[in-house]
Amino acid sequence: MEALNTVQNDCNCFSKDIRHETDNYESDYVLPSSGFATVALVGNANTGKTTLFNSLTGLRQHVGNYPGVTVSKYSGPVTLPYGKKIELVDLPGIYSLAATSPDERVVIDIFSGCMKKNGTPRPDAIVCVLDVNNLQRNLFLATQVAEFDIPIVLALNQIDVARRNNISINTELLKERFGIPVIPISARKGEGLNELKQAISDVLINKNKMKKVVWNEGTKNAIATFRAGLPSSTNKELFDVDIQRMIFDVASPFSTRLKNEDIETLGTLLKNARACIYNFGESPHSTEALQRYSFISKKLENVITYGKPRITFTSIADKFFLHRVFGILFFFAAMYGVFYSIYTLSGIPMDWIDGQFETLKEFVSSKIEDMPILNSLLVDGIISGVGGVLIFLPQILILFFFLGILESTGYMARAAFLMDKLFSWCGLNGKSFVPMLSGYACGIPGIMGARTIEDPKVRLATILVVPFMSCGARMPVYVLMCAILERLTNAQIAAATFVGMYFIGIIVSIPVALIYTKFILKAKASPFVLEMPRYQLPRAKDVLLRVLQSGWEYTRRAGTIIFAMSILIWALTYFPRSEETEKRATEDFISEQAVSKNIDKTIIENAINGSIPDSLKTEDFNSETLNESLENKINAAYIEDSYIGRFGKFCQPVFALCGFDWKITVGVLGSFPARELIVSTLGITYSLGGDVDEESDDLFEAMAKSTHNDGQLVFTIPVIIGIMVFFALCGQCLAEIVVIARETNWKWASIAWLQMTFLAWLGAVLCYQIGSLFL
Amino acid sequence: MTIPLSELKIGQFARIKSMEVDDTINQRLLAFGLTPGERVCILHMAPLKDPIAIAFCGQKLMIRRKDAQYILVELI
Repeated sequence: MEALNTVQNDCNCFSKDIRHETDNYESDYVLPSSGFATVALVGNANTGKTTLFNSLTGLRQHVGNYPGVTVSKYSGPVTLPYGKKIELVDLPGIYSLAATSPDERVVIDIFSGCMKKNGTPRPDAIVCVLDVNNLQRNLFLATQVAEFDIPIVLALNQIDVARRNNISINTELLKERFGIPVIPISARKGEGLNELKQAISDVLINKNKMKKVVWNEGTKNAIATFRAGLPSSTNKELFDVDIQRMIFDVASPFSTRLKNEDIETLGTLLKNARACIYNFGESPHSTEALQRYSFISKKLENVITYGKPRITFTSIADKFFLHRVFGILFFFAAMYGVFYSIYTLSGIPMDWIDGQFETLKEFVSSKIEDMPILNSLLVDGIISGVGGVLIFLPQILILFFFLGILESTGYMARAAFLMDKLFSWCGLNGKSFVPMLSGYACGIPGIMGARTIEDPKVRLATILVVPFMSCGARMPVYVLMCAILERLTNAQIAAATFVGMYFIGIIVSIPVALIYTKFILKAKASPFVLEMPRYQLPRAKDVLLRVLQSGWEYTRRAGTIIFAMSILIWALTYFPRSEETEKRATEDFISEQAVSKNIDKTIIENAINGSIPDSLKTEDFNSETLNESLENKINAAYIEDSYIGRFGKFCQPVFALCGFDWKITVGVLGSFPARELIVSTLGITYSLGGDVDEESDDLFEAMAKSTHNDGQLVFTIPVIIGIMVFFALCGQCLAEIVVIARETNWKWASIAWLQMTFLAWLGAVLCYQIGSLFL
Repeated sequence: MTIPLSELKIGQFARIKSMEVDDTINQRLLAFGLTPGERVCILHMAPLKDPIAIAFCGQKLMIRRKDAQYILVELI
């Protein structure tokens, strides 16, 4: 329950004090501080609103975020006729102002001026984008928006489609009946855009307000009763639209606009007000829609003329795409195609980025060899940090390219339709499918892709289970462990284990999703109502802009934090690095060598310094190999002595339950920035240097042979499987946690991390403890 | 004859009589224009017959069977 409240609070940006300073609704138009008038684009989803926005602003738009909510803010300058400039804001696509989702709340906040402090002023005019082919429903939102008394222009979009379908609209009549400019446009074809700009410029001067619904006696009484119950100070601050929303909506966030003392009486106020509507024979939750729709149908009388009906592409296409057999087959083929492309296409730029950063590292480290700290900071901290941010870009860009195509063609709604049943029983919905599938390539684009889910609770639950899908970063761990497993058993078992790891994530995510949706978020009343829009060809400009914006948002908002945290982890792995450690490691090395070679310590010492008796010199025993081994030994000692190493040893008792030794524990902790680092971390702890990869034989040998103090092998079958299960379930990388935080908040990111770490640990413990009983 | 919307067969037309769903869902469906008196039909069903795609007022909407069973319609 507490979690539920937080979700609501997170979305809640209403503030009582801000309302005091919002400009009077009737005040004259004053230029805002930026000098530009603000004009907002509002409309239903799938009306072509964003296409219109892109057509009007082009590449000059900027993407930001509304504070406190994960709703992206798109805005950009537009020049009106005669050179007047405005700032155009593209609001999220919504169907009503009932404020059940963060998107709807943002729109309401902006229209009532509550976002002014956060940099989005109350708009000076609104452009309501309507799909002319479905005017009745689209006007519902427009009549709600009209309640805010802001000048409005109605843009009747997709007039070209209407013409094709033999639908004609009497715009003059509409203009007369609503008292505001009504402009037929086709955002896609660029038709009517100049007229629209002219109309915006006109309403900014003339301030045409749209005609509002005339409420019936029941509603009028309800509003009057509500007002009468408020103290006069609050009464003055509340507008009719605020009161309407509180009465009509089941749990309106508007109530937070009341003063504290008023909130106590809110329950009684609402009860009395709603009683007026009940007395009139209607329900407060349906009366609004009924009155608005009857108002709209009166206004639409004789406005629309239907010609000869035409069989549309959409109706034929849906017979195929939603077909029980062919539809499903096409769906899986399409998804396979999409994710195969992500996997193969992203490999090329990822290898390239990796290669460039390796070259850069070598170049930098060769230039400043004599400054070890600066060298390591630049190479292992900064350059690796930047590389670790950019390496995810190709996958994000490619996924968002496909998401853009799936959404703008209208296929996404069909995919959700086909998949909904599968996900609905664990509380998710059909739209969870694509993010979860993309989690198999990489969790980060998957988590970002969950933005396509409207329902905030389902979206959160999806984000929390996406990381369980086995992403590419787990692969090196699986490869390494399965190779050791193969030596202990045989190739079949190793291969089966490898495949099994890819199913563990799904198996675990089902109960986790269920627990979140049923018990923690209680997403019971989330109606999954989804519009199935007309199919249309995607417009390259819209898709590419979206791709660029997602990449930019990731780099700027998540990248900076990932970078900072990578440097922090670097510092924890590097420091304290005392000379003491080096001296001790050197001494240990010399005595070890002396014992194993059965020669005097001083000979080894001299050999390290370069003077080695010819009689002892062999291919394996010369000053070069000795120095290399010594350096690896010292590096291993450094990491053991580093803060991460000390922390690893401190945590060791916890991981001992999984059968891990301290080297694995340090590897697990040290690979937190990115799990694929485990291989090089293990390389260092096993004194082989950091340049090993998952296919290097030295590392297999060293690991397969390594023993506990009592001579028992470390890597037994239960331990190996435990390690794989651990990596299959644990939080994969720093970037993932940061992206979860960006998409939700730090609280949920911490919960996600704790839950994954705990389940991973539990899985490993179970594997080891149960496995040890049998093997 | 009054039956739940979920019982409608593909291609049958009906008129909405009343909606006995949860207030939140009701408000949402009403916002889409699914008001009493509106003509509605089922266009498609997903593989396990859930969810269903309904058509009304020139639009296509997907809803779940469990929500549709509380929407009462009259065959026409």
